[in-house]
Amino acid sequence: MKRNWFALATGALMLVTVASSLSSPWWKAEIGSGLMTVNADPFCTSFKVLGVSYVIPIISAINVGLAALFVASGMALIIYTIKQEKGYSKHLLSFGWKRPLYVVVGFVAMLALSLYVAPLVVNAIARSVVAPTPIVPLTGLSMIRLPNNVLNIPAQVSITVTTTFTHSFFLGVVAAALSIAARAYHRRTLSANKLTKAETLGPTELTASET
Amino acid sequence: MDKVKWGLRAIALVCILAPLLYVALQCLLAGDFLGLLVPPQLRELRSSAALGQGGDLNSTLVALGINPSRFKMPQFEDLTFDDSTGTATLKLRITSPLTHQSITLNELSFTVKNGTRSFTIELKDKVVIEANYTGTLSLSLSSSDPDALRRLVNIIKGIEQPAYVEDLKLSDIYIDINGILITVHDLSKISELLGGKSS
Repeated sequence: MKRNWFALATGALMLVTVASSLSSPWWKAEIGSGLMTVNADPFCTSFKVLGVSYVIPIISAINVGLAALFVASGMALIIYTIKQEKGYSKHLLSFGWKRPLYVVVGFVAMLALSLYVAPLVVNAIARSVVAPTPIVPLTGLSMIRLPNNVLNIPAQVSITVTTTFTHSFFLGVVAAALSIAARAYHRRTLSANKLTKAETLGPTELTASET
Repeated sequence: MDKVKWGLRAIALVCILAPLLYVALQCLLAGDFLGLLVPPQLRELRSSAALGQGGDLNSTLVALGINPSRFKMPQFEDLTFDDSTGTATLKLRITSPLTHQSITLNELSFTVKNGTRSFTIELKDKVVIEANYTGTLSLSLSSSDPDALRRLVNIIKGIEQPAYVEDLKLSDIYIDINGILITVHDLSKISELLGGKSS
């Protein structure tokens, strides 16, 4: 049986992605120059206001759970590659390959949803502020303009917002792509093996051996 | 084979549920369900408010990284003009109320108008005020018209008092502090800003 190197690469990359998330969040929004930072990450979400870091306990718990699951899935894929000939290996692949895909798709969906829901929350709290929808673009530089009547001075006040996906996110995306390749490769080798078996044994023997 | 399958399912369940249960149990034991949603740093604020100490703005500000006792307006110390470089140096006494965050003055520019004549003054280099800083801050200002800048410095210091000083106006003020951009198109006459000094 040919070794599924895609699975090994996915597993290793999944471990690297979790380690990378600890130092660099998947998505980062910086309001002003370091005045407020939002670090959105499936494994380590936090926000920083005026240099003080905050974490929300329930989100933190979900992050820890997802990180543990991601690491377990990565290790499952590595074990699957090493012990590919064992009968239980398909369960390891099945356990591991979907995880990066689910996490990446879930993360982008949640992030996009938050950016569309945030203006509704802002408008409900401060009616004079007209927040754009989405509140900030997924990536790039934008401005939040404060209304003149907030500060009561004839000045225009706006705040720069920089949003960006970091290399950790792209590691996750590559891991997801590789996991699909690993699954496809597993299927291909499985059908190729069946074909070889059929050719070696012949149709009668194959039927007998399969029964 | 099924053992592996069920084992993996159990691992997935433990990975997700264990941290959630740990956090939930902590809040349950403390009888504080809002603690699931409120960052630990802000938890003390909520409890002090619950004890009838609400409205304690100082502790709220401290938790947010602002020291209210250090709120002071910048005080003017000195203003000089260097003929060799054509720049003016404004010295201000600064007390930063931020305990963890530095303040960066990225840009500062404004136009001084006297009827149809005008010249622009801008900050030469960005200025960084570290967290908790108390001391003198030097702002180097340059202009497209150094001679006009020199005369303005003299007017502000009271060395020169020409007749047109009454008509000098500040406009197109642009300030960038930590990414907060402030634009004022017309402020007022310099004589009004300086009070009775120039009149």
